[in-house]
Amino acid sequence: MNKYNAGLTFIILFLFSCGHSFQDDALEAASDGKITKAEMAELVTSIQGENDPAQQQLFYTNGKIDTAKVADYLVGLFKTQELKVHRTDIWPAPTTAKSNLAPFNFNIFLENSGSMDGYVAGSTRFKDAVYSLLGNISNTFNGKLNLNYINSKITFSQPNADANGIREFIQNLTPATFKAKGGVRESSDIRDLLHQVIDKTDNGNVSILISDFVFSPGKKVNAHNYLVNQSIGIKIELAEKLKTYSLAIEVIQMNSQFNGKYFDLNNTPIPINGDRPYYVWFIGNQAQLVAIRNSGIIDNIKTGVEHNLIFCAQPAPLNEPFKILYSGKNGDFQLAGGTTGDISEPVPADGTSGDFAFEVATNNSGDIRGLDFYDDMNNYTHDGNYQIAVSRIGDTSDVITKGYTHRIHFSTKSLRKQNLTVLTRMTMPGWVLACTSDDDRQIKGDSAQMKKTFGLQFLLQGVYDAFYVAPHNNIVSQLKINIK
Amino acid sequence: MFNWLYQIGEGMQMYSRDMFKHLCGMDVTCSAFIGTPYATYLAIGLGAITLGVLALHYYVLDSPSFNRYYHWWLMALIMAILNFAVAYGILHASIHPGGYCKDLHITNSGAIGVALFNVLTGLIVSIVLTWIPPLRRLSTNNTYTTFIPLN
Repeated sequence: MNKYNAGLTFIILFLFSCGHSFQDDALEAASDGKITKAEMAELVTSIQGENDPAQQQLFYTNGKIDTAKVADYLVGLFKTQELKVHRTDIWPAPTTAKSNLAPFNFNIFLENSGSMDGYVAGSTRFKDAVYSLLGNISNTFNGKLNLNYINSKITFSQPNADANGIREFIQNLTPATFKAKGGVRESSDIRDLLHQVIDKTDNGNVSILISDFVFSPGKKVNAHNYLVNQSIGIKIELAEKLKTYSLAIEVIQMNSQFNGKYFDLNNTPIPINGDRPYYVWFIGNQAQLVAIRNSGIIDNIKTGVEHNLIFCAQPAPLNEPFKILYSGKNGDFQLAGGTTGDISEPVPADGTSGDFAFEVATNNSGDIRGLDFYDDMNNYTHDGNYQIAVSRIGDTSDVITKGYTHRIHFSTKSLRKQNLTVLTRMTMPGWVLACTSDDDRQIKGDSAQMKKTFGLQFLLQGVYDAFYVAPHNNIVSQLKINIK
Repeated sequence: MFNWLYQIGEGMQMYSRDMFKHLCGMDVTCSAFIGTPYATYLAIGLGAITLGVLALHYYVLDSPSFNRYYHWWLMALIMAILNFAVAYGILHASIHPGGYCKDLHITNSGAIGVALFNVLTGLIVSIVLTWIPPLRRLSTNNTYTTFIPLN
C-alpha cells in the first residue's frame, strides 16, 4: 500500500503544481496591499519561457519582459478585484516620461489690415478670445510671448510681453491703433502673410497667426483665377518649409461681433454689423502643437471654438495599437496569436450563412489630430466585404478597453479568409465647404454669407495639398487584421 | 494542461466556446490565458472523485455483500452527484461579476453543461477502469463487479 500512497501523493502534487496561474499568483502577492521587488521577480519568473504570443504582447518589449508593462497589467487586474493596490504600490515605481521638447517662444501675429478693424471696434468676443488665449499661454508656458501686428510686413512688435504687456496690447486693440501701426492695410495677400510667419517659425518659435483670412483679389481681377493662384502659391510656400521642418498647422475657427467695413472680392468696402468668422492658426512643429493641444490652452479659450482642423505630415501611416475584443461578436473565432494577432478559425453566426462580426479597440490618443478625427466615419476606408461602425470608448474604467479610445465594429454577410485593412484618411471636413463663399458681393443683409469666408476652401486646399503628398497621400493610419 | 479534455465537451456542444475559453484561463482583462486554469482544477476534481469512489468500492469497502452490478450503479450515482456538485460549485463560484472576462458569454447553464460533462466523463472512466480485469483482481470481493452483470 505504501507504493500506492506514494504514487497517489505524487500524482496529486503534480496535478496541483499545474494549477498555478499568473493571475492567481499576482492576486495572492497583492494580499498585503503591495507588490515588492521580490514578488515582481517571482511573477516575472512565472511568465518567462512562455511562448504564448498573447503573453508576449502583454508583457514583452523587444523580446524582453517589461516590468513596467507587467505592473500596468496588474493595476487593471487589481481594479477588477476591487483591491486597493495602486500603481505606486507596485515595483518598479512609475517613471514620468521626460519631455524631449525644447523650450519654445510664442510669436503672435495679429493681422491689422483694414478688414480686421470691425473685429476690434468696441467690446467684442474677438478681443475676449485673444485676451483669453494670450493669458492661457502666459500662464501655461515659460517661453517668451512676443506680440506683433502684421500685414505686408510686421508693423509693430512687443517682445517678451508680461501680464501688463498683454493687458495693454488688448486695450490698444482698436481700429485707430491698427491704422496708426500702418503697413499695407488696403488688401490682404495671404500667401505673403503666411510666408512671413512661416519664416519666423522654427523649433524655438511657435507662430500664432490671427486673421479673417479673406482674400482680396481687387478690381478687374478674375476672382477664381486669383484664388487658384493663391492656393498654388500657399502650397508651394508650405511644401518648401516641409522639406526641412516637421511642420504642423492647427486652424481654429471662431466668430465675433464685427462692426466695420467688409472688403468684398472687388475690394469694395461694405459696412456691416453682425457676427463674422475669423481664424487662429497655430504653426509649429508636431511636438510643439501636441504640447499646445494637450495643455488645454485652445479648449480653454473663453469664447469657445467653432471648428478646428489639423494638418501634419508624417513619413508613413501610423500603426495605432489595437486589441481584438471578445465582445460584440457574431459567430466565433480564436485568437491563437493573442488579441493583436490574427483571427483564426472564424465561424459564422449560424454556421452556414456567412454572417460574422467582431470588434476591435484602437488607441488613437497618440495622434496629433485628436480623437474627433477618429470619430468621423467619413475618414475611414476599408474592404468592401465588411461594414464598419466606429464609436468612442467612453468608459475609461473598464479594464478590458483601458488605454484604448475607439471601438470598431466589423460585420459581414460573407465570411471568408482575407487580409482586412482599414485606413483612415485625412479629408477636408465638411465645415470648410459650408463656410466657403465664392462671391461675397451681396454679404450685407445675407445672414448665410455672413457666416462664410471668401475663398476659404482654396486657402485650406493649398495647405492640404502641401501636406498630403505621394506615396502615402492622405493616409493617416492603417489597421491590418488577417482573418484566416 | 487539461484543456484538451474540455475541448471535447465543447465539441459535443455541452457548453459554449466562450465557456471553454473561461475554463482555459482567460484572464479578467480578456487579454491572455493567464487567469485561473479551471480546466485543470475541474480535471483534478474529476480524477480525485472518480478514482476515490472506485477505490472506496473496490479496495476499502471490498465487501461480499456489496459486490453486485447494481451496487456498481449505486456507487456510480454517488460519484455522479459528487462530480456534478464539485464541478458546478467551482464554476458557479467563478462566474461572479469581476471574476472572469466579462466579454465572454458565460451562463449558469454553461456551468451545468460542464458539470454534466464531468459526470459523463467520470462514468466513462469508471466503466473503462472497472472493465479491465487486472484492476478488478486487486480487489478481494469485487473481482466480477462491473457496470453490467458478467454472468
